[in-house]
Parts: sequence; C-alpha cells; structure tokens
Amino acid sequence: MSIPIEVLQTADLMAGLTRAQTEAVAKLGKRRTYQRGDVIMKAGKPGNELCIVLKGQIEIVTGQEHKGSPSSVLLGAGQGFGEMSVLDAGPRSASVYCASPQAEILIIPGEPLLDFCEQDRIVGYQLIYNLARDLAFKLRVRNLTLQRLLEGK
Amino acid sequence: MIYKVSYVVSHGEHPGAIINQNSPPEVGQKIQLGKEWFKITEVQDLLPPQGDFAYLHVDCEPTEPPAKVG
Repeated sequence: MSIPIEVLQTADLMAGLTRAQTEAVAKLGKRRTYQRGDVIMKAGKPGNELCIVLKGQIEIVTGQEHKGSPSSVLLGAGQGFGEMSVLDAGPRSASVYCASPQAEILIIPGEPLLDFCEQDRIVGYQLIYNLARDLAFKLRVRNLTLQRLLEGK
Repeated sequence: MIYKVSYVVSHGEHPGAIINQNSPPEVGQKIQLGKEWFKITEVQDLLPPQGDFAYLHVDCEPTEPPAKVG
C-alpha cells in the first residue's frame, strides 16, 4: 500500500525535510488500517515504533485511565505518537485506540529509523529535533489541560 | 501555513484533540471534534511559529450543531 507523502508533508514531524527526504523516511514504515475501537497500542507493553496518523482519528489514553477521561486526547491526520518508546526504549506509556470509523497509520520501526538518523545526520538531526518539539508541544498541552482542571473549568 | 491546534474542552467529558488545519481557529467559531460540536471560547499562541507551522491552543465548550441552511 503506497504512503500519501502529501499528508506526511503536513506533519510537523517532517518539517524541514524535502519531499525526497520525507519519502525516504516513509519507506522505513508500513501503512496499516484500523477500524473504530481497535487497539493500536496497549499501555505497559513493550513497543518501539513511531506512528503517524495518515487518515482518521485515534485516541490516546494514558496509563490505566478509561477512554474519554480528562487525560486522554484525540489525534488527527499528521499527528505522531509512540515516539517516547523509540527514544527511551521504555514500555508504552499510553493505550491507543482507533476513534474514527477507520484510521490509517504509518508505523515506522524505531531501529531502522534511528539507523537512518545515524547514517544521514543532517536529516537525522532535523527528525530528532522535530520529535523533541512535538514532545514539548504535548507537554505544554498537558500542562494547560491540568491547569484548566485545577481551575475547575 | 499549517495550524497545529490543541483543543481543550471545558464542561464535558470530551478528551480534547490535537489537529492540523489550514486556517486559524477563531473565537465564536463552531467546530466538530469526533461526533460532537463545540464553540471556541479562547485562542492563544502555544509556541512561536516555526517554518510552515503555527502552534495554537484553543479552549472550547459543548454547543449545538450549526443550523442547517435551506
């Protein structure tokens, strides 16, 4: 199944990469389709893949929380998840479910991705920088969400 | 410009969302997240823009779907 590069080019994880560089990264992965309610990842399980939503929506549910809890969030096309386990080799910190009738996900195994970054260090630097920015964005969102909860909004 | 927007929902069970969109969100605008509709109550910059991306945070609350025209 071919990978829609035009969707990946709207993903900030690929920011600063040329189309050819984005295609090279995409070729490391596989595209999978999920149906509503399918479990894409399970919290606590080992995992080592970076995932990018190509189509539809997925729901991230942290720890043992239930779907729809305040600590969960929906991610749409162009958003990445699973990066923490690629970077720190720890278990999955959250469960991930398909939240739309159908979702398509690009799944990039961590080892080839890190090898790619090692071999092409200019592209590698940009990718790791993008991953760090995305984690910072999510942390800021989490902080704001907690702040709103504490304010009782 | 691509707007990476985090939506946080007040007064409800909706988990919120992070979505890329081609136009900036505006206060008063109605948006659909999943099956439900929400009205935007606040928009703020979360991070400075970088390259083709702007990073925004939106507070919103549940609302009725927009009335159908015609």
